[in-house]
Amino acid sequence: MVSPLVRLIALAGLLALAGCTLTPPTTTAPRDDMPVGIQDSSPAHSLLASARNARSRGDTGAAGRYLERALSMAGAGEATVLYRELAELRLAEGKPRDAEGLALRALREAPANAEWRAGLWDILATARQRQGNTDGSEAARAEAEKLRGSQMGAR
Amino acid sequence: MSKNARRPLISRRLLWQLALILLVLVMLGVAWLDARVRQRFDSHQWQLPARVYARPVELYSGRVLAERHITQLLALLRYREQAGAPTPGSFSRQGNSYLIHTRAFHDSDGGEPARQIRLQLAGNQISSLSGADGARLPVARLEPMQIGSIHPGHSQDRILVRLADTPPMLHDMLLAVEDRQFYQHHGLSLRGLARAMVANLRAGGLTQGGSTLTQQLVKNFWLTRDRTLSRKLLEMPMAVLLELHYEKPQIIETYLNEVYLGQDGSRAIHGMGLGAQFYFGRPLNELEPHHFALLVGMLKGPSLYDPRRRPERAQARRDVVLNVAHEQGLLSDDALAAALARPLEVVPRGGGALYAFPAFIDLVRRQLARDYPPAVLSGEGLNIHSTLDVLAQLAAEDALARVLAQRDPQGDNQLNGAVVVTAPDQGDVLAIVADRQPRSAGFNRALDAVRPIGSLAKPAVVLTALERPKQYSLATLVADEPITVPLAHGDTWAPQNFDKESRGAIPMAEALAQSRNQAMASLGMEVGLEPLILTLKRLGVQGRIPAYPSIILGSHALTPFEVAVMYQPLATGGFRTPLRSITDVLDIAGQPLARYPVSADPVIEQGPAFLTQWAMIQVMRAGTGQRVLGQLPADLVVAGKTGTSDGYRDAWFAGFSGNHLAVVWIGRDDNQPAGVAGSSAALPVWGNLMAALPQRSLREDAPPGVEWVWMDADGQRRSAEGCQGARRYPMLVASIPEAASACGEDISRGGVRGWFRRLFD
Repeated sequence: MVSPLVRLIALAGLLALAGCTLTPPTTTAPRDDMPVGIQDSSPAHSLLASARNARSRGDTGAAGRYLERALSMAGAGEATVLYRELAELRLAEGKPRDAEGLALRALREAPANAEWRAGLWDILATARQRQGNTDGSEAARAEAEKLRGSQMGAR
Repeated sequence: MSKNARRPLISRRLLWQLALILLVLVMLGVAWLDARVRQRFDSHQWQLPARVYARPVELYSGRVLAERHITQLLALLRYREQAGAPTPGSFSRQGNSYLIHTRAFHDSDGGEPARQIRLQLAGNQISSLSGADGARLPVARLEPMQIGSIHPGHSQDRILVRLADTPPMLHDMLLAVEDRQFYQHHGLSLRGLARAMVANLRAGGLTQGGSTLTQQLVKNFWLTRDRTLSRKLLEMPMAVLLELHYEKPQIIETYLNEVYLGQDGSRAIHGMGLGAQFYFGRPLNELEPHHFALLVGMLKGPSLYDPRRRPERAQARRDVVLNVAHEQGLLSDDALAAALARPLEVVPRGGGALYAFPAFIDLVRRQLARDYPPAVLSGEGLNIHSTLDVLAQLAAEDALARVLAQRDPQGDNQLNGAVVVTAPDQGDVLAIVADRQPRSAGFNRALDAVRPIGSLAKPAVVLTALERPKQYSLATLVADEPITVPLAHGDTWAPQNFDKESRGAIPMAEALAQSRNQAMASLGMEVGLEPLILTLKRLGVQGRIPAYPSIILGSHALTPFEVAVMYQPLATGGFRTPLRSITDVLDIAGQPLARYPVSADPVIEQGPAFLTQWAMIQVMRAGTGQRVLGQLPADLVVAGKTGTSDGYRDAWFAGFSGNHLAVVWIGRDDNQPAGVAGSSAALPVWGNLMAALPQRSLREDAPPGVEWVWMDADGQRRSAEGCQGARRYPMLVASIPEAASACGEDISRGGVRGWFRRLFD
């Protein structure tokens, strides 16, 4: 049994903190709009730009090498961007199987951002489609739609 | 006079016929020689070995970099310290600030120009990186270091240098000493020949050749090195033919690349380009007059004037060349005096990067042999871009050497070790150490030491269980109690714990973190040996794995490299990426021939992979790996597993961060008890090494399908924070039990209200 004095002190303390700590600390509200991207100050940033340049002039080989270099110096949260680029590159190179693996890898590294994840599921759907895996493709497409739906609902 | 007597002995007609035949024979001979000369010269069949390069070192602000490692790196690249770093390949240093004049290079990304970069170190990391103008540089690269040359079919080596890239001083010195009429004669120099004949008459034999550069080239290219008359007779017409067909610049360029300059074991050093590297450790265009003079002087006899074995004689010869250059107006008085005052400046043989990393080169050789026929490797001058990260390699060597120096300073206990470092993202093998003396090429422990992996097998047991989410979660209690498993032939298997004690029922996560043998044995027997074997195979273990119960505790033997393969999917959250030591193979013109792109093959479901990784993070936080924590940044999230084999024969540690995986083995080659344990011997090596590399944390946020759940101590019911014995685990949704403990039920039913009520009840 807790003494009345302690209860009073606890109640006063809780009232003082009311509004911000009423929920137990471990249950944070799920977010689905965490930022995704590579900061300007990151060393991976300039390499990503070089990769996009190389890709725009059709040099997918060089683009891949820039992305792999960037991966070696990517910070937390940046790898998903680079894996996504690599997956898109492999799709463009006509290698859907590799694209699928890399898109899954990007998903694993992805933050809680529904739109970003939905985009990755779209790539997966395309990669599976091009491998003739229609069921897998549809499942991926459905996953993307579900994520977009949940995002709409959240708004 | 008789009729016969009037006739000449040989008729004039016959003479004509003979002369004609002779002429035809000579013409045929000349035609044959001509064809030989042209064929060889046109095809330019240089015997060029395949060259292996490390990846260019990437420098960027924020990168971990110890001062001793940048010092070692610059020494391996043969950068020389010079105030103001005026030319490529030089650097200057003030305290922790470095000004580095990088060398230009060309690679498949286009390469980098030569430029000055300013690099500031603070607290073992690069605190800033800028150009000479002070503008911030996001990334800079140092040129790829040549770490090996592979020439299975022959033993010649050379670095081709174009005439346009040849320093004029070298060209002029060569002509001044060897052939002053080169641009005037047509292959033969009568003046030179006369001078040689006089000398030979005086000496009473053939001592001087009097050959032009063209003749010397012919001799090197097509003929033997003997000084015989018949060789001389062939050499002269061939030299003239060569001059008929080819221009002077072609001839001298070929000469510069063909000349023999010495021997490096079985490797013959040809051409000025390789000569510069072999003797001075630097590219030709960085050399100065006194270097050129030595190279030119050595042409008279590379063995006789070998600057390493006969430095005094070599220096005297060099000085003769310098004086000739001065007489010919190539050097001013001051320049001559300055050059004569310089020492030979020859680097020690084998001191460069070419022989520095034999264990890694061994891996490259094996991967090449798998993918290329020997003929392609033998002479086509392939450029092989490897994944070796020189800084990771130096850090790994350093880490192993330090720990072994503490545990076995004199080598009395015959302790040795191996380290494999990879980048799991790309599957790149960054470093291989196979000996406590890493420069010595011998038994490659990293690739060939097959040793029982001990507790390194335990994550595979946990993973096999977690893939059955309805049966197991990380909270499931497993029996850490004596267990006896009957074997064939009446034997039994009864594993002991490390501390010879049993703790009773403990959660699976704790069984892994504390590396409890009996708990793992009972879990392994429950999940079954065949499923465990399948898991090991999915993780990448090759070959037959016998279905003995002892494989649960790692009786199966693997090499450190194979362990790195097996841990790759655990490090990447379930993806198998083939380990590669090569990224690109380019032909001699720099055109890509083959590329080994990054791929990722999902072999484990994301959920179980995440849970297993999380359990391995707990090994580092609260288990057998925790003693390493002081060595690493406090906020860095890493995972791993210790391993020790029976009788303390093998100490293992395999662990990873978000971007580096490293496997360390320590033991004895004769497989005798070495008194080493994973946590005390291998783990400190791993910690030292990981602390010296740029790291990224593992992610701890749960992927879709995984939720954080407070579980009761019974491992079967949900609980809540604050309830006695409750622990929080990541769980697959399918594992989360319906039932909750009374305390947990209360809180979950009451939500926030219940939480309050509990406080006030």
